[in-house]
Amino acid sequence: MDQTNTAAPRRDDPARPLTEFDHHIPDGADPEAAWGGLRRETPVAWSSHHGGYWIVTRHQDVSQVLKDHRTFSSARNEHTGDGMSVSHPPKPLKLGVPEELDPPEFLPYKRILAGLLAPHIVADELGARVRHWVDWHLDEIVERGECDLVYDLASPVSGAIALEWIGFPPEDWRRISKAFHDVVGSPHGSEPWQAALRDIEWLDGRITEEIALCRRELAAGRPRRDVMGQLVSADIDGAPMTDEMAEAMVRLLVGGGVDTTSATIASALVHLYRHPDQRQALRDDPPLWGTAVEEFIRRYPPILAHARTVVADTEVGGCPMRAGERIVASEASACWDEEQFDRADEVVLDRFPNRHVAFGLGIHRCPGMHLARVLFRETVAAVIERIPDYRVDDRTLRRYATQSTVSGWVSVPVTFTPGRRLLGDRQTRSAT
Amino acid sequence: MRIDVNGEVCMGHAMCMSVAPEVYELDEFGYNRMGAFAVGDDRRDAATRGLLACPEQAITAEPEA
Repeated sequence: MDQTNTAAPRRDDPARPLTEFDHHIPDGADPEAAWGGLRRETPVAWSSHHGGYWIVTRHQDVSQVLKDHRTFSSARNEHTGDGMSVSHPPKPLKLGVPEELDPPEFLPYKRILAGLLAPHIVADELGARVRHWVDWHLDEIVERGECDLVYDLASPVSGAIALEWIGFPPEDWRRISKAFHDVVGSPHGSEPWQAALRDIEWLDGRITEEIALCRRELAAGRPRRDVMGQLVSADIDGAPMTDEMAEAMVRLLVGGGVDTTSATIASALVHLYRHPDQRQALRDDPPLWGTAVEEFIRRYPPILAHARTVVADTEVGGCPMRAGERIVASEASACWDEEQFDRADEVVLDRFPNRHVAFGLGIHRCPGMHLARVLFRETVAAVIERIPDYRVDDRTLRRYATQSTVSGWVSVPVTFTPGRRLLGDRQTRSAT
Repeated sequence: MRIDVNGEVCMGHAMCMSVAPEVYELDEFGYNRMGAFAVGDDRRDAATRGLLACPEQAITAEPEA
């Protein structure tokens, strides 16, 4: 190993400002305050934790890192080992594609995803499913007068949309969405966390089964029309998609689709409970949703940060970085950057322009962003329309545990005046 | 006004089309491949809104020469 890389950084080295910050924010702490403190004091910092790594927090610097995929690699390499390249330290998870690939390998997989999730597909096909599943899940709770806006609504609605589209049968949905929620929401080592890990292992097996099933259906001349069916019949540079890579794409789609938008939905619903004037403004003036969706996503970004590996010597914010070093860029911190956004800590419903980076930038930007926007808007709008007087009990709110990736509320119990169902019983039954 | 959409920088966020559909259109994958084109005064404000909405800053504008 290159000896210059192992030299301990000196405390007075202005080009490598040391921090004790660890982006795994402890349970119960406020990630926004923690990231804000670092951004204002040491915007580009070298953390002593996890073997040493760079942390980048300003909008300008985060944008530079995310847009420059040639210098900041997302691929697995000798510095990430078998772990997930886009987390630091790399989590012991199987490969996700195309997120963990660099060009040129990245390109054909990204092209497939972009086609599956293009804005016109979302508008013409997926939007109707979103509205259906929002109505269906609200019907399940509307007569009860109480529910948990995460476990009964945001999490299962996001799960139903993503998992129906990918091609899992309804009996799998709750188990998958709960596992992805609990694995980031519960403290490491706790019973729900361990159960979630077991369920994610079960899901890995289910993905293998479903892809094999799709392959057999394809061979029998009956290709499945869902995403898994389309993946197994896709070409990669003229060769058939391998099962291994199809499975890696499904893992990415499940992970990206199931517990991300739901976190922002829950945060926005807590915010709107505390700001009845904004709740009313959105009901009175629906066109306001156009800017409001972007603003909620900026103010309550679900994903806190992603990691990269520096693969060519470079400089960010005046700090020279060397090939082989690991770096964490915080999309959330960039969204909260006072230098980029006036009144950054507020929700300004008509904010424009709003160049937030909650979905990332560059080639790895969230491929599900168009679906996420529709899902967010439809769910939040339906709640403030159908149970407008929902009351959040601040004492029962719980944050995500050890927040390194997802930020928000793990549980949001509410009470409200019971309302009426929208869908008939027949439609309810046939939908499941 | 002359608008230039840099197809290398566009990453398909679709914000230009979302805020100014009368000026911007996307390909089947949701990317803007329009390149350089002129817009008349009647669509100038809309074109500017789309430029400002682009998170990748892929769109630039110049007064017509």
